[in-house]
Amino acid sequence: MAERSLVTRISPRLKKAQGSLLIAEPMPGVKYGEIVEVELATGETRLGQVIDVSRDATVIQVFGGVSEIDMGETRVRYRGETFRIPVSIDMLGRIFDGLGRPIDGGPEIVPEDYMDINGLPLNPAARLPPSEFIETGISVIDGLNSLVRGQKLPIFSGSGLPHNRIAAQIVRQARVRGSGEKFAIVFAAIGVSYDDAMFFIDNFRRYGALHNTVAFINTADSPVIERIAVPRVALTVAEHLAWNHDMHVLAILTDMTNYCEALRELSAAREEVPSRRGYPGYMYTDLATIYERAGRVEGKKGSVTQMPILTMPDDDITHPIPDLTGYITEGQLVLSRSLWNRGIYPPFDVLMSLSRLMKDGIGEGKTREDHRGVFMQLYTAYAEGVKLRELSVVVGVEALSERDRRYLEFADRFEREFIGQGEYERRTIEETLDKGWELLAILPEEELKHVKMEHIKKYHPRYRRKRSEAA
Amino acid sequence: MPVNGRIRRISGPLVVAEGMRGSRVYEVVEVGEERLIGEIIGVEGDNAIIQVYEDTVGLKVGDPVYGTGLPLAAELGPGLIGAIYDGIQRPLPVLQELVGIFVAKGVRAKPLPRDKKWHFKPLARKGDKLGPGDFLGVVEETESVKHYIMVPPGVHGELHEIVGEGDYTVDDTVAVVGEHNVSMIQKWPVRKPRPYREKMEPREPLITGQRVIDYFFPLARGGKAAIPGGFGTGKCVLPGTPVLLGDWRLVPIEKLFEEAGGSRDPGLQEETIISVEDKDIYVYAFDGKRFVKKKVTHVYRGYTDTIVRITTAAGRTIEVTPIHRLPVYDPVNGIVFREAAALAPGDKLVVPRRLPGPRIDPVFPLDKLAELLPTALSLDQYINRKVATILRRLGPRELSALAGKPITEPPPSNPGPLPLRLVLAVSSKYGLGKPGVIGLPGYPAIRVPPRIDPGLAELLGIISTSGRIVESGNIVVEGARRVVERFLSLSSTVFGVEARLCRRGKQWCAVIDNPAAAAALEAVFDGEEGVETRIPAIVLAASAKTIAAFLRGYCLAGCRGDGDALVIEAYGENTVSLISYMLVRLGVNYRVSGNRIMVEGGETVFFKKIISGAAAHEAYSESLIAEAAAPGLLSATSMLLRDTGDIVFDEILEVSVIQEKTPVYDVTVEEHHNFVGGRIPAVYHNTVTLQQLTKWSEVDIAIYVGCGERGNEMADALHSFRRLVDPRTGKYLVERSVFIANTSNMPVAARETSIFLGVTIGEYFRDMGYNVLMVADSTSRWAEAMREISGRLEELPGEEGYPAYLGSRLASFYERSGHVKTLGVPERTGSLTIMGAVSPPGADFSEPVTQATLRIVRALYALDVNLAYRRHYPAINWLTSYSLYVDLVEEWWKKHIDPEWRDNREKAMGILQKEAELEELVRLVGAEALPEEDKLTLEAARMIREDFLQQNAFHEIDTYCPPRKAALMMKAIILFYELGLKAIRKGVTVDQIRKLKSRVSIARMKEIPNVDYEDQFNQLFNEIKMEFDALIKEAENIG
Repeated sequence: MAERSLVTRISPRLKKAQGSLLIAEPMPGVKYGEIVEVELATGETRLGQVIDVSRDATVIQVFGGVSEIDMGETRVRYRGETFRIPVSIDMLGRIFDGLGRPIDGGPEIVPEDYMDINGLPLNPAARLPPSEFIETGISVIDGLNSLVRGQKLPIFSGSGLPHNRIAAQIVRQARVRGSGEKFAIVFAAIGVSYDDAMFFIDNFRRYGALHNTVAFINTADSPVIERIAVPRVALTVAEHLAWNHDMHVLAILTDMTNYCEALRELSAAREEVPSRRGYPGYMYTDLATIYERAGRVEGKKGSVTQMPILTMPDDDITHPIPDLTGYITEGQLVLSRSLWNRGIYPPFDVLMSLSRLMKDGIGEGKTREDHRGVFMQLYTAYAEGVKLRELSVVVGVEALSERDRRYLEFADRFEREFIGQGEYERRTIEETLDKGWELLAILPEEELKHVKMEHIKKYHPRYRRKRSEAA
Repeated sequence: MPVNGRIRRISGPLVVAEGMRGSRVYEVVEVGEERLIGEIIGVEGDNAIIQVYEDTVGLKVGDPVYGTGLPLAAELGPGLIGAIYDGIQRPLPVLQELVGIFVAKGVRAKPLPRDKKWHFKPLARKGDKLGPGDFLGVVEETESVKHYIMVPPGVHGELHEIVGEGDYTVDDTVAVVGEHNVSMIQKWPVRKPRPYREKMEPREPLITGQRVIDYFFPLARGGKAAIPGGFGTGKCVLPGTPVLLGDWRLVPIEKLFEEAGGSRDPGLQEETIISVEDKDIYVYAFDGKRFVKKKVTHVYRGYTDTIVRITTAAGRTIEVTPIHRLPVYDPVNGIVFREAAALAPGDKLVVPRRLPGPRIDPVFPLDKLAELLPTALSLDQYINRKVATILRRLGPRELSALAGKPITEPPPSNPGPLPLRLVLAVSSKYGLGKPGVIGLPGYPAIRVPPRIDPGLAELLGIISTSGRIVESGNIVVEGARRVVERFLSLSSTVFGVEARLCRRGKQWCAVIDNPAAAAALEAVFDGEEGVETRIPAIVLAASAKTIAAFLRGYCLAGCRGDGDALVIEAYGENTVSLISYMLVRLGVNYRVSGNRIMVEGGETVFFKKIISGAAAHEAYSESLIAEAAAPGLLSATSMLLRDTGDIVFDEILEVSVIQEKTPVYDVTVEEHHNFVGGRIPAVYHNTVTLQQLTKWSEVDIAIYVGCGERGNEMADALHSFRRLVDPRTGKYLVERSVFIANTSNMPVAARETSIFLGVTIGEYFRDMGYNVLMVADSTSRWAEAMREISGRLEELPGEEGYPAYLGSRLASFYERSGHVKTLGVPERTGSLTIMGAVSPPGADFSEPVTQATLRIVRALYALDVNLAYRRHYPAINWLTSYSLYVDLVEEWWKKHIDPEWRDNREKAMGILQKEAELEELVRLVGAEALPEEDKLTLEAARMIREDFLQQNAFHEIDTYCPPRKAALMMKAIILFYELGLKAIRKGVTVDQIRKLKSRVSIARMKEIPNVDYEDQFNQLFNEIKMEFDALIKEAENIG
């Protein structure tokens, strides 16, 4: 267990309060980055962090903001500790606020350890390249953009798109194939609305996903500044479960855009030199310190996999947030507004999405031997279908050949039946691939150039029917 | 004098300390009680601004700051080679041992191992007057690197003492020079260039043997160059492609790779090469006429995102990377290997018609049988008696070991049946024969043939199409009466068992109820499960006669006539593949369509005769070779066919390019560099060796700095680097490399230093007289680290937030490259060449880092994917690449190679430039509308591109082109062009010029051997001159 300081100091005077920053008189012994308690005249206590110390002043960033702070009466209690949170395996099944305090009415956690939320960088020489498949039960992800253990695969969404519902579905459904290995989900809601927060909590309770989930909920009305801590708190717990309890952890962080906004706000409050679109220049490094807390490591059974969710402002994928995220993560899943407007759930834009580590996690012994072929065939057939759909708008469906019309039909049914799936429907990878075959059967068999002949014989519905008839 | 102070302010990685008067910029300090490492980056009066290389959380105002009086220094000495460091030279594998998987704060480890003893051999003698850089001794650090121990900079004097040859640690004093005790360690501040005697203009080219680099865009030893984006992909085949091994096994190429120790679970983009020279793997290679067994030296795995799929008239589908080479028949040049992307429908692919194979049939797999049927007994009296005799001589312990269970009593003298496993164990140990009769209690005994002989093969052929082995141990055959009857007669001759005849409706059937016989068949089929039918792969390794017998059995039910043709029905890809290889063993031509194999025309007669046994296959196929080939295959080339009876041509029908990210594999084959493989046998060129590796093998030491990359990617790079083998020496590349890894989430200040650390280590090896190459990947991330620190310092930002000193900082790094005369004796020169990768976001070359880099580097190699898709390799774009070393190496070229180099190079560049301009015009009006002179320019440009710039890295001769030969090649092209211009003015047309024989000779210049080529080129020049003289005369006569 980490040592805790017994000495507490109380600051004499405050100098200035502004935004989320509190500037206090300097005091000897204050540590950079330490956590303080700000005690208001009303008796309320807020947490804060020291973000600049000098001979002249101590700058405190208050989680909870500086409203109602009375310069005369407010006291700052320095505890001499950096931001550590208690961690325990008992956190599974519990719900916490953004700073790791229980909000589900349950008892306080009996800590196994206190851990610094900033974590430490993984030694690059100790890492292993990721390659084990995670089944989310969602066809588009499992079939076309497979997630592997230790990967970081973000969902790029837009406002009004159902990313929260998708996230909840993933939490409910995600499993590792060939069970027997311990699997856990760490869920961090960053600046989501109260409704959304309730939706998550309700959902977890109702569908029994709660017992292997640790949830951290930071609602939109909680102070902006707390958001900086939420993903770090969540990943600290995730690392504890993975490296100390040998669990395979999937960490879902939603919504990283709120995190970046908070970062920008804080940077502005500190009067730092802004970079692109007002975001701080260190945003790349800052995001890297979050996203890079994923991976597999030599000699450890567990792993940390990340699925951050972010909303692209104005659906703009070149915006700094998705842009920098894409530099660090290994691929992305993109949601499409036009699919959503057509009533397709989950509205994944198949052609924009990509999982860079997929190839190492699929195939015989991992998913199924035909996975790679089916994936390529579905992808190219759908791309062809979408291209023809655009063409048909210009020339009319009548002008298309029989082959082209089959592709159109394929694209439509692919969107409805393969991409589209019930919110409470869990498809195994076999079901997903069989679904794919069912759709590929729309196309003439000679068009199936990406799948192996023997796989056609084995999985194509026509041959399957024949075999079952023969039997 | 080190100064100690106290912290005054902390903000992120920046700390301001007071009471630091007397400290210097770039001095290393230790901050706080945890003694975090930091570096002073600014001094203001009493205050020092410090950037801390570790997380500053937990520091307090008033905490101590300890000065060291020393700048941030690299530790240099034996132990560097093969090490993996972070940005401040902490050895990462050692940190992992110390503190586990995280890089913890404040953790320290010495960069060089202190307990390891190195074998030091003195080179200096007592009493010598020594100065900096003089060699004191040498340590053989790895097989590839001799690490010289030098007198450190700043140390002079007489050598008072030097230790004798022996083992010492790096801390031990090995010499006393003047008043200094000298150990094997040196420390050197990373931001300060190491001293040298004289920096020479990099006037000596770093010869790579690649014409496009050496002749057009030379890189100098000690130069600096940039490569935007990633490196190109290799030339390989896709997983699933079978390779035909020398012992006639068909093994998927990825399995070959895995068997060689390659990881099944490889990483992202990295390439792996493994030497298999000690493993005796053989394949069949085409030597230009026939197929011969050749040894595999390396196996390779990499990635591609583009595949070329080629389908042919005979039903082959070949999937390879765009630059993978395949043999085609070219009417002018004969058989040539050409890149897949350059092939077109109509091209004639060279494929094997007949392959040599074993003359002796493979041994019957009795061990497999015993494994499948553990209760089987040996009923062979003769062998059993011999075994019993041996058993009686053995003690209980040996008996138990043989039987696999405790046995206490010796076997009786006349043993009767013995367990088959026991008999096999004894017979293999004592070299007895194998039992020929086996059985199970309650069933009739069966004979087992010693080898897969023709009788058994025919039986297997029947079972492949019409039979199955039921789990209960029955063999069931169903089909037409003649099939079943043949089966009855064969089973009694082969196994000596009688089958029961039966009828099922109109079908006839036969049943053998004998688990031993069933297991015998099972053993031959090797338990392989097919979908519909199964073919025993072992037959492929049998003699031609036996293969013919197998096909005879197979054809009873599996073949049907279709007019002139014979159709062999197969049921799956594997069956098609095995039968097609069998036909190649017999020398029969065929065509594949789906699951059907068609033997057509004259081949049908031939085939029927072979499988009926009417023709001795060897003699018959010899006589047939001169005859016309089967329809769809070429007969016009019977001349060539007579020469090379082992091949036929298969016309390409379709070539398509597919974008797919997939792993690819390859093998390197000795001498002929190709191998037979594929589902339907074809010849694949092998092509390992990566471009960068070739470059690397030109240098003695390589330093790789991974700077700000993704953690998982770095993990993969480190994992695969450990297994990379230098194709030139066959030794691990790690043995002459140093790695520096600083991922994007490691402290940003250390990312900034990682580049300087790398360059300092590079200079240290340069000082030993080595040629060093440093690769920095990527300098863009490094620049971003500078931007971040500059932001923290609240400096005025320059373009896109980068600090205004971006350019000068980049320069201070690149400027440390160079070709130098080092300090010390013996007099020597060394060089440090820097290759920086830039990754411009969105491939936008106008962004500040790329622009600043281009201002500093003096050579840019613009890799062009489109060139790789066309047949052009190396894919270096000649219009966007440049080298400013041209002026510098001019003298070297003039003196050593060719006085006309500069002139000819410029003429050639001019022609290429003109071509680019004309291309626009050609697109509008067509080439024929151009004036004759322009047509000639286009022709000359094509010659430069195809006959000069393109270089086959894997052609035995062309792979390395000496500069002198390159110069002569260009001279021939320029001569041709200039004489052509002259001729045109006299009224000769370009069409006439194109038809000149010397045009063909120019196309073949690449193949002129790399020694004694002067005469051949002089002949070529004379040929060109004579032909043009004749042309001009002719034109004048007409005129």
